[in-house]
Amino acid sequence: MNVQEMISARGISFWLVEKHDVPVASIHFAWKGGVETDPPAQQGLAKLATAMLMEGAGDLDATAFQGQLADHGISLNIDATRDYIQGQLYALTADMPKAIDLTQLALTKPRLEAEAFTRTRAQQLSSIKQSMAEPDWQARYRLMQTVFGGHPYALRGAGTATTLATIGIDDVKTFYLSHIARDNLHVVVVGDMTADNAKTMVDQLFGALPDKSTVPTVPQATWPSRESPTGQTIWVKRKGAQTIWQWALPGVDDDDPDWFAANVVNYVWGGGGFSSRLMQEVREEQGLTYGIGTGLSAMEHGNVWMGKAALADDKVSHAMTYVQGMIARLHQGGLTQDEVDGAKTYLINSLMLDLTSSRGMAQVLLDWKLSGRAAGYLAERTQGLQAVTLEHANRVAKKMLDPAAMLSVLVGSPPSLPPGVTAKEALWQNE
Amino acid sequence: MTIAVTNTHASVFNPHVTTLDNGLTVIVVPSASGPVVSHMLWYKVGAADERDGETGLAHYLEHLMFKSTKTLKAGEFSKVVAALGGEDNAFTSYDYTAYFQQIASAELPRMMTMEAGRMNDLLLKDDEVLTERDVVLRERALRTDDDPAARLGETVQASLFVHHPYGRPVIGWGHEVEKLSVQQARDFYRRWYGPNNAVLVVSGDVTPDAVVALAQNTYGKIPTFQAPARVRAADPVLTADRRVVVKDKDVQQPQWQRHYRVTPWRDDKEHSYAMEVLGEYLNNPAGPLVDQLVRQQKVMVDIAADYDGRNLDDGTFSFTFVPADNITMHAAEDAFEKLLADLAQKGVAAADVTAAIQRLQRNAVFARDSLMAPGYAFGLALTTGRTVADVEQWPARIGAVTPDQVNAALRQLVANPSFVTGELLPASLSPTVH
Repeated sequence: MNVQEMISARGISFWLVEKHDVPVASIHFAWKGGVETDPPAQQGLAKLATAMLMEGAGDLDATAFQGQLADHGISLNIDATRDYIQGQLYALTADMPKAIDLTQLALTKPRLEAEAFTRTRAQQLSSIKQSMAEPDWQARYRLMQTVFGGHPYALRGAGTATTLATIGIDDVKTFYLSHIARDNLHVVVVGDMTADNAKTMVDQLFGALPDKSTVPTVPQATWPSRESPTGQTIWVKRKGAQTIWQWALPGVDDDDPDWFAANVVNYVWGGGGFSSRLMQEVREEQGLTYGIGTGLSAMEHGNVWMGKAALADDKVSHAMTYVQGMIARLHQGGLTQDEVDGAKTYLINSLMLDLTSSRGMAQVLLDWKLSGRAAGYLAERTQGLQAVTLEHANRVAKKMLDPAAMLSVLVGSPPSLPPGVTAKEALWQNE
Repeated sequence: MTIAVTNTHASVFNPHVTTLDNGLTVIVVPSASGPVVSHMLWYKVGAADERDGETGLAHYLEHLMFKSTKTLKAGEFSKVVAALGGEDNAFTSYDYTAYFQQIASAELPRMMTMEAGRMNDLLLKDDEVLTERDVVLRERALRTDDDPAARLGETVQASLFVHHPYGRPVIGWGHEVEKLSVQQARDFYRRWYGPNNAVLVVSGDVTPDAVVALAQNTYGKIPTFQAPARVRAADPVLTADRRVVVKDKDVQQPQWQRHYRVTPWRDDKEHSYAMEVLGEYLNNPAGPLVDQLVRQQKVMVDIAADYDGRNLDDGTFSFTFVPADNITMHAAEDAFEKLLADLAQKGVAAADVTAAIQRLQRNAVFARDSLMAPGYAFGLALTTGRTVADVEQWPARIGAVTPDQVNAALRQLVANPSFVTGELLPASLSPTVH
């Protein structure tokens, strides 16, 4: 993978990987400042604003705009994530000029018609209602509320019926002005495109955007804190076919010297699919669950290490006790050399699988670019992982895998909890 | 490999196809996807091949394929793949069961040795088999029992296919899954798994000669067996209205769906290609359903259409919508029916048919920007009665569809009595009464 650092005639810097085996191209782009910048009373603004970019632009109403995308086989998605507004543009090379025209039109001349706004807001509300029916959503909601408390990371990305009702078209316009500019823009181009072509297209896409953004600053989230302590168990009572269990431990920053070692520990504990200790012992050996796993979430302004499992109600107490015991074992005894070696090999080599399509490669590179990595990060990442020793991994396991630091959320009807655990009851969220 | 132009009548993947002496079909698609390979083995057996009373067995066996073999311990298959930096998994549907790994191309020989091993050497030990049955029951709880929308989908399917085994859930009915035995798993494995009932698709950084030689040395050593014929009961035309309703306390957003049972691809290929174009036309976000019902009449929040003809037997054509907040399900359903009837009467314009055809044909180029796409395309085709040529000629077949065929397909759909309507409702709402 040869990542070229480019600067367009208008001064927009971007990364390019030329790949000429299939006549397609992917342009992935992002602006810093996502859901996290929504005012608390207007949760859902970033998602609503990005959705409105697909509802017609220039002379094209929503139907005409989406019809032109479809008729040219252009896939354009723009969505607000926690930290970013992210866009993915994908088309045949031959259709790229049209794709660029339509996308830049959406970014510079969105129509923002009242009818489309009302309809899009209703769609967002409908999708919130659908999400709220999911026990998994309920567990995640409680977990984020508890971990991030008053920090914007506790905000609900899609908003609520109340907050959506307060958002008007003017708020959307203000959002575009503050967020969509050139100084917070990140772009990656992968595919059947020459350097000169790519530069021209990047300028056509983004050259007309304002120079400067005015994205509100977001503070660093610290957890655990006095306001949001850890070590608790929260229980949303619900009669269903199973109990959802989600948990959190304090995480680690992706710039931290422990980052690669923490990834190795996460892989061995619960990140490594079928080969993780959690899957091996809780699913394979005991048949307690279909899926159990963990993931390190390193965000722009805070970190958390989360895990989840779905369990039969009457196995919840046993499974929680068992997993706590496993954490204690990792905390005390650490990993084995074989586990560390296996994790390193997997984490180094499996990345290739994400790079087999132009879209996959563009997304991996954009993620790196957004987290401040250099264009040559692939080699840096490999070296960083290779350098992880058993001793370093064990030191990180000792520090991070503290059984007392675990925050748990249960959604279900377990008949009992592990000895010594008292749960704080919380309500099923209805709006 | 460089293909510079998009020719809608060109072939799609240009595969190299071989059949080993023992009957295993081997398909190789070299591509410039980096130093990696996708290795997929598809068996021509799925949930619709289970006997009465043993629903879920095909999927259960898929889980058990990761247990002990003569040379691997339980769980070791996936551990080996992961330790080499690869990914592996498997999936089961009505007509097929497939196993795959994506991994550095240098590891392909190891993958073939292990996959060929479990084609014939699975031990199916009592303790491993029974523990995994609990895992499958947890999977069912997660995917279906605890998800009102999935429960509705399962019931709609069971009401649409009243006699044919497509009416069963692939994961099986819970009361049968919990009684599946080691012996049933062994019998099913012996009855269906073998080289002449399988299709191997390898794509990525490989050469056909090397893959065929490797396949010969691994899969090639497994003896041919007597694979059973896939005999399934045919469904009658439905003669009574069928509406199924799931009401659930957790549901806040009502949803509606209608599934039609349609002629299999096998029995009328031109009709099936016309249905594919019709599905594309109707599901287009700029098409008449979204434009009229969502944007103009505002009776729905969203609507989608889908034709699924990728089966050995009957296909389905389905519609799903979410009614607008202030609109009753009844009113939204009426608006949908009226629009579909009007469209059938008025006809789809030739230009709209051409546009839908061109949208579909582009997918054949996008498919080449994916390591696993050849595996999915050929595996699915060859386990559902199609040939390699059917995949390669798909763009041309779609291109040959005429507006008359699309309009005939639409009129036939509107008049089709074999459909089921499903409603997902909050506990407090009453179902639609007509």
